[in-house]
Amino acid sequence: MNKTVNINLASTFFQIDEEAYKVLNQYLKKLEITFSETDGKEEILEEIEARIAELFQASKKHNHYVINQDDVTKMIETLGEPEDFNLEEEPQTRKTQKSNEKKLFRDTDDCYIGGVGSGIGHYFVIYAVWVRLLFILLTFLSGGSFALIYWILWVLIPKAESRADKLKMKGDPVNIVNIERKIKEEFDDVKEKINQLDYDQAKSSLKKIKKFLRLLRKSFSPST
Amino acid sequence: MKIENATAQMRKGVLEYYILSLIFKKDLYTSEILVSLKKGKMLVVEGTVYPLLSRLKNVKLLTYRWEESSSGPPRKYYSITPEGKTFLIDLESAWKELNKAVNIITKSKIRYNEQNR
Repeated sequence: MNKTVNINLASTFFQIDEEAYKVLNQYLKKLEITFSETDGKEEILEEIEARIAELFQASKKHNHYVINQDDVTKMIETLGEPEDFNLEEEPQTRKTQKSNEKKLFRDTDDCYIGGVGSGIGHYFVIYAVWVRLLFILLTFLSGGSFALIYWILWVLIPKAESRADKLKMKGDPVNIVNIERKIKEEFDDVKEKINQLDYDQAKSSLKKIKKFLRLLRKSFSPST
Repeated sequence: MKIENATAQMRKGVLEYYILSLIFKKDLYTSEILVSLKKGKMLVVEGTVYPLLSRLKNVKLLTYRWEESSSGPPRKYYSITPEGKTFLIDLESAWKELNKAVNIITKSKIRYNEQNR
């Protein structure tokens, strides 16, 4: 049994099975990342989306046809992987070199309070547990005033929000292969949960969880 | 070195010239451009064309307009700008020079081979 998903590509309606949807979604995300620094990114993506719709339309054999993985694979073969697009190479290599540097971020995927401990852990390549223990120890030794330092760090260190941030945090060079790996990792994480739910339902419940966490954090943060 | 890589580089180098010449003759929409490029074996993957067209538009060598089509969604028609035409003329003379130079070398190589046989 296969679930189907309704999608809308360049204002054209398609039904697509779940597995094919995942592949398509990943491909579109990869394209978005590839062109994230390019002028006229929206236009390029729009045109590619229109082309995908055109190709899908051609493989639709009847009105109730459900796009399957073969159709998606065929489409990707025609359009090509973003690595094969042959964009101007020079500015790109400059960018990757720059982003090879490691940066200090807060890791909110792995956190108890604000992710400061795990962020510092990533930066100095030590286990976050040691950083956390050190922080707790220092807080006790300083009679609590060290908590203020934690709070300052929390405010000053930016949160690793984008995938690129998360890679920089760990010192991985930001390139397509790494970002793809990252997407896959994230995807596997939520796959289990989403399998049980409808896509839309999952989206709204994720929002609720986020909201809840935000409230929780607010109530934990020291009021100064 | 693989022959595919070398030929891909060659094609990439003349791709802009090819596309500008194509649109110079007649305004075209994206799929028509793709068809012609494929016929001329100028493309490995279609994806290459979109960023290239966008770049040519951004530097104002090309413009586009939307046109309704009787079958399916509206089409994006590209046409060449006056700047594009001047640029194309420059490209053409550069191409002719290059072509001549390459031809002289390649021809003489063939003659050299024949003489030494």
